[in-house]
Amino acid sequence: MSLKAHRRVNREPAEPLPEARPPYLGFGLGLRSKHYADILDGDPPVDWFEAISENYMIPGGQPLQILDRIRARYPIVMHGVSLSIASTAPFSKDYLKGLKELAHRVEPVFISDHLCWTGVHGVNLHDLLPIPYTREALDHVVARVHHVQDYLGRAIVLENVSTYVRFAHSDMPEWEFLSELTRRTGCWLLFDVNNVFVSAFNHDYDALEFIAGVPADRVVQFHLAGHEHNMTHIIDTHDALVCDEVWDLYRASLERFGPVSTIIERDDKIPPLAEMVAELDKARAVAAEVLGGRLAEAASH
Amino acid sequence: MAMAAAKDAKKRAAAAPRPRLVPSLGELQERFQAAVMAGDDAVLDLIPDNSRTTRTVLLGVYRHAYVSRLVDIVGNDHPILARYLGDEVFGAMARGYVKEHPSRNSNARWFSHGLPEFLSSSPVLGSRREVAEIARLERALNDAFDAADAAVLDLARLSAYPPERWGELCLVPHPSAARLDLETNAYAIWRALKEDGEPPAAAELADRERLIVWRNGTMPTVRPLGAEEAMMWDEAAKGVPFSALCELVAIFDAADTAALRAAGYLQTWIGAGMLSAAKLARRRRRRQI
Repeated sequence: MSLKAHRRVNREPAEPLPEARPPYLGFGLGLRSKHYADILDGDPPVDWFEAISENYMIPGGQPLQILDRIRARYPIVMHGVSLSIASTAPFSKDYLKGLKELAHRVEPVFISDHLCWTGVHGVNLHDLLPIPYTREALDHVVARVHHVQDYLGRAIVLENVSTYVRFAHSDMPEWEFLSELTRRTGCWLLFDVNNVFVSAFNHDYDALEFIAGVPADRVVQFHLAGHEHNMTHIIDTHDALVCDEVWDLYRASLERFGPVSTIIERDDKIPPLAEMVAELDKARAVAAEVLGGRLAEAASH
Repeated sequence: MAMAAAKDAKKRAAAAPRPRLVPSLGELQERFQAAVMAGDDAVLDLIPDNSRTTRTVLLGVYRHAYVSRLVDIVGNDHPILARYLGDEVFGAMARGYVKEHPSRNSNARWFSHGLPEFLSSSPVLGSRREVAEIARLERALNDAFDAADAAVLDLARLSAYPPERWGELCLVPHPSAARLDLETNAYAIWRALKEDGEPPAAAELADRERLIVWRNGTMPTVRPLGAEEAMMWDEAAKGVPFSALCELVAIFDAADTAALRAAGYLQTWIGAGMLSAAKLARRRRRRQI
């Protein structure tokens, strides 16, 4: 391929491919194996589930069978942790292939992952690592999002992660980076309210600025979760109830973004399903209080 | 006073990273990865403190999370080995594994896959051969759990073949099936701990323990095999037709009951879902000149 042709292939499209906004799903939970039996045997009042993609990117067996059965009864969103969209290492072709195959099987409402990287030089740290918010990083991630969206044949959804360090040479705030990213690629945003709270505390900014800085029409999902407060910094542990401050930010997010599909995540000290449902009911109540009739209207579409 | 001022200046200098050439995104990621995995501090130059603590503490969150997350994965994949070794020895072993075996797979499901080999060559635990063998058994069970799906051979499908052609049938193991030969009493240790019992003292066996691991329905299952059954399984897995398997069984033990014994093994395998198909052996065509 000539250099000229190569440049043409890599060039960003003038306009992102238009894609309909994913539908409003209501109030869901992160799908965890501990709850499989209660979900399948009962009829929990949960509108949808978010499945961790990698948990089902396996050859076969019970997890996939259970996912099929849950999918038959509930909408599913696939949420990945290893896309490594911001890595400077080449994509894993096997990973993308596996993701596409799982999407073919599950027919998720949408596919999400995180604005982060997980490793370079063929290594995966299995963590959601921070990026500098620079023009260079933005151009890099934009090209990678285009690549993934072309391969999957659909717009993806990207989540803001909790970060513990920031880079001094960042030349824009995280919300500006996300805004530019969605504008240039047509990707949607998963707005993790707890992550905003964690990062704002860790980096001494106002979480409300983040909420105000993200384009309202691009946010298609909220995450709520608990964390560990160490006084000097907060760690995003997903092992506790959603705290009052995050509920307040959820209210502010609802006011700005309107009715947005919401889930509660729990990855450690996972309580029985009934307790998760009770916390989800709190999210429903908060949303009803903030949005009133707009919530019922969104649910009816 | 001067000392206090110097301390303040030192504190301020620590709070503001020294200006350096801004690294490319790739360079930054290399440095960050080295910081997390190998304790390299070069990336700290790019990170400011927050208003409450130092950048070293903040970076430490990633360093700690990296090791503890992967150690947890090793523990989740090897719960019986963890119980056998105890928290302290298992934790040190798992941290050693994390250090020597960076994850090379996008899916953490496969992270602990190299543990048995790591243990075999471990200077600390390598001489305790039962340790690596317990890990091998747990790995086989994990692999059986999410091995590829396949049809399970049942008697109805087998009886679709006319009896006179059963001798030509080649048996296809279920994709989840794996054979293990152990030279220690690792299986007895594993089973005792699995049943919350007291494990026997580790011992080398006079004759190896032959095990088969497979997924029965959705459950990973392990069963010891006698020498004859293990031999027949191993040959069947190579594609040896049933008539030849019967001949091998006849050589192994009493010839007059060989066909009956072979049929008994086959029936057991079918009943337990260890086979996915039976296919007629391809007849060799005479090469045309």
